[in-house]
Amino acid sequence: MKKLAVIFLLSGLLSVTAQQAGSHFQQEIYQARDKVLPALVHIQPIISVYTSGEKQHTTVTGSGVIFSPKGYVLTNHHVVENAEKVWCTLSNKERITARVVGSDPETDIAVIQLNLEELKADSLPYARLGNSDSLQVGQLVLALGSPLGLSRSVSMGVVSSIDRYFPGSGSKISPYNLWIQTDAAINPGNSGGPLINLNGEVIGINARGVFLAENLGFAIPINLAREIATKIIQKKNVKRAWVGLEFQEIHDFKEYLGKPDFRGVLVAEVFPRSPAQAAGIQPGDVLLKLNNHPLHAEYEENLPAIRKLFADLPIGTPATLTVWRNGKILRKKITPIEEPFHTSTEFEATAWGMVVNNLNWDVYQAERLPDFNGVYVVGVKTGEPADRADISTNDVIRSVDGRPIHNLDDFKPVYQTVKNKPLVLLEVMNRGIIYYKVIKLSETPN
Amino acid sequence: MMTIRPYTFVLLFLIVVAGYTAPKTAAEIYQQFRPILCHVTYYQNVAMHSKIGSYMKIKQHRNGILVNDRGLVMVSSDVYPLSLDIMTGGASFFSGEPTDFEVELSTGKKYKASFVGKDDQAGVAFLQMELPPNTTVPFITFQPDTLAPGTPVFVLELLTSRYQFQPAIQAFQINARIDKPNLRYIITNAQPQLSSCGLVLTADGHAIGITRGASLDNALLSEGLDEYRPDYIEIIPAGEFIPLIQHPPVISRKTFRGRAWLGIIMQALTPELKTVWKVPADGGVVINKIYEKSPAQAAGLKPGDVIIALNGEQLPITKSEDLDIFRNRILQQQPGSTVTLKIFRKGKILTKTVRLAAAPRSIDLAEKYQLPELGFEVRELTPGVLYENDLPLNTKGVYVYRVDRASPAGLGGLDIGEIILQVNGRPVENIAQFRAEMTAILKQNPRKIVFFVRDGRDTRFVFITPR
Repeated sequence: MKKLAVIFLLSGLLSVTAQQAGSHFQQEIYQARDKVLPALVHIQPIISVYTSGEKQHTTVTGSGVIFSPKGYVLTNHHVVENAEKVWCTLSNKERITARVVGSDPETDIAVIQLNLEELKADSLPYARLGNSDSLQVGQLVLALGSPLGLSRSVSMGVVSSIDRYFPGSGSKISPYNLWIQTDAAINPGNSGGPLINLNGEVIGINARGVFLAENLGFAIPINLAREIATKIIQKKNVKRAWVGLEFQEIHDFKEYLGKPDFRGVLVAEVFPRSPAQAAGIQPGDVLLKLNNHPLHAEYEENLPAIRKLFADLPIGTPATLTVWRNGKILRKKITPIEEPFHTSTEFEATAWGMVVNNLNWDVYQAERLPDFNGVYVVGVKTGEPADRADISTNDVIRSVDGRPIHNLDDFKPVYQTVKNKPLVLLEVMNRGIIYYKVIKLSETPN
Repeated sequence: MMTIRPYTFVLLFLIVVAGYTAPKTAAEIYQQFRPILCHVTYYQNVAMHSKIGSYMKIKQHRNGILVNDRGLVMVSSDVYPLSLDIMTGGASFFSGEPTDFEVELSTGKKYKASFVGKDDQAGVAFLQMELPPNTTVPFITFQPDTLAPGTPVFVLELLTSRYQFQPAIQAFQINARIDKPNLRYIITNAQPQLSSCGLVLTADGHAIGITRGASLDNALLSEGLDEYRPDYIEIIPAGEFIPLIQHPPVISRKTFRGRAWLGIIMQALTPELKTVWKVPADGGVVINKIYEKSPAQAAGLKPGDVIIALNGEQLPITKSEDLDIFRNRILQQQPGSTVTLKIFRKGKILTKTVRLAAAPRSIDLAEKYQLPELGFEVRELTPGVLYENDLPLNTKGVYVYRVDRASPAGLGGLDIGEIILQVNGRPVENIAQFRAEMTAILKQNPRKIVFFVRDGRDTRFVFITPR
């Protein structure tokens, strides 16, 4: 009996010692948590999804963080995409609605605003946004959010990498930023939630986990999120400049040239009908400077910053490029235009049983469009007129009833005018080939 | 092996007596035709992922039919899996040319043979046995015949390896006749033995066709598994390949000549399109795309045109399945011959005379250049590749046909299907010039080689570090 008591005592002593050694660290975690947890929002949007061309509603779960006393909440684009109504649960478990202020798919950042008139509490807690440029690999971080819907969860880890680049996703998905990688557990539902440092400042917006991987989470650096959020709040959307260039890092090219000190970024592709083509830029050119800003992409991780420099150029204002071409230095004037494709909410052409949307780069490339005109088919409902007309997903509608379609704004009024006609001719492009499809309202007249 | 019961013979006898030729027993048919059925072996060459120019050899066995006394052997066209022209698909990047053909006669004598040519439409290929001088072999003369469902037939073919490729005879009856797009006879609920090209004989001893095996239908599998019936035997009637026996198609990379080709992508004129456009015909072919420098382009055809008659004949084409009717009517023509098309264009009827050309050959038959030291193979840019990639026909470059895993090219990120436009900043013209450039470059032991490539609509630079 006595021996057992000693062992208990000893173990008790041990745990007390451990607590004392870690208490400072523990306190820091508590303090950081307490600064952000009250501003954490559990977001449950009701979204419209189109299952085989038919509109249905479903709920998803995400997270967000309040960053302003006006009730602005930072979250992910993919959390509130196609949301018809957004329900938010605050940390005091109060449930209020919010409206989507704006959303940017290219950075996966969205801003929603809480409807404060519904708020019962006297004050609204909000979190401070930190500086993601000063992050260090190995720095302790906490991830806050609702993993798998388990709200107000906190997990801890370190910053595993601060310049993670996803080459597989190419320039079309998150082309403008690198990612913070962390081993703090990030699961579905954490999306849009804050990654914070031990000062209790938000340094990233958690956005991605890796299916079947463990302790691999990715967050959008807060400096980019802040910039996008500011644009969204001020202008409702993020307009980007487009010059029509694809870049490659210079590392291998330097080695091929035998010029170890060479700096710049290699032009891999010049899009047809683009400002870059008009300016006479060619693949194989090396861009040295944009206006007076030196350009250098040694490795592919350096490419997002360069893409962002071009995207942030003022639209319609000529910029000067300093170009290296086979040893000669050239100067070229380039006038950026606005990005040709704009995301919008999907449009359901109910009478025809299909859903269409504005074009994007993927569809433009895959369907080999000769220009930027058309709307593409997102889904077709089986057995409905569009399906019977043999229209399928990703077909690009180029004309309806003889009227050219440039985008969704063209399509909607034309559709409203002709939707009740018994036969409507659509010109549809698929892999660069025009097909003629006739929408017939009913198989047999009733 | 199945045995045929005596009363079956009696039944067959009674049916055939109604005809005019003396019917034969299965035993007589077997005796008479056994010598013209031979056992063909060859090696199918499957390209290995690991090394350019190396192949895995798979031994294959086929039915062969002796079709002339000088040792011409007819086999199923699947012995030669490469596609010939841009209209016939089917070949994979991993098929090499078949090798080591050997023909074993019923006497047990074996002869080497060489590949002569094939016709994918009829599903047959031809081999030439290397016979000693003044040697002849027994052969069969096919007779065109039309058969009604219910007609009894015999199928003579070899069994599989389990039964040492012994010949087998089996009695069937024609269960169905299919007219569109090509005449075919169907035997239901029957297992073909050794793939295709079994000999089909009537009870009066006429060779009227050959069996077509399921292996030739592989291309269709992707379209609907429920459609796939391995337990049906399809009979290709002799009328379709008799002209080929008289003038066997000869193909090699050098002498290949494609089938008649118009050069369009088309859709059917549905009743709805007919109504919308007020087309004065009940069927037709709508042109979706016209290939550059094709006969259709030369004749001034345009996308959106509706072809409503070919050589004065109406086209009963109102749904996509009917398009084979038009395809076959073109294929029946000779390259260089002219056809007259009646065209409906924006409310007007036009008549166009089109001089058909030979279809451009496929990438499988294109000239090749292998670089085992870098681990890739390129082929000349054929019109088919340029059509497929929507590139102008004057595009210069070479086509990346194969890339080895973990080779310098593979590690550098070169991909199958890309077109090399430049090497080390110099434009690539064709295979010969690319070979010369690469030979010169490799002699200098470079640290890096840079290719400027086109990948679909994108371009990029690929840097290769030689080992």
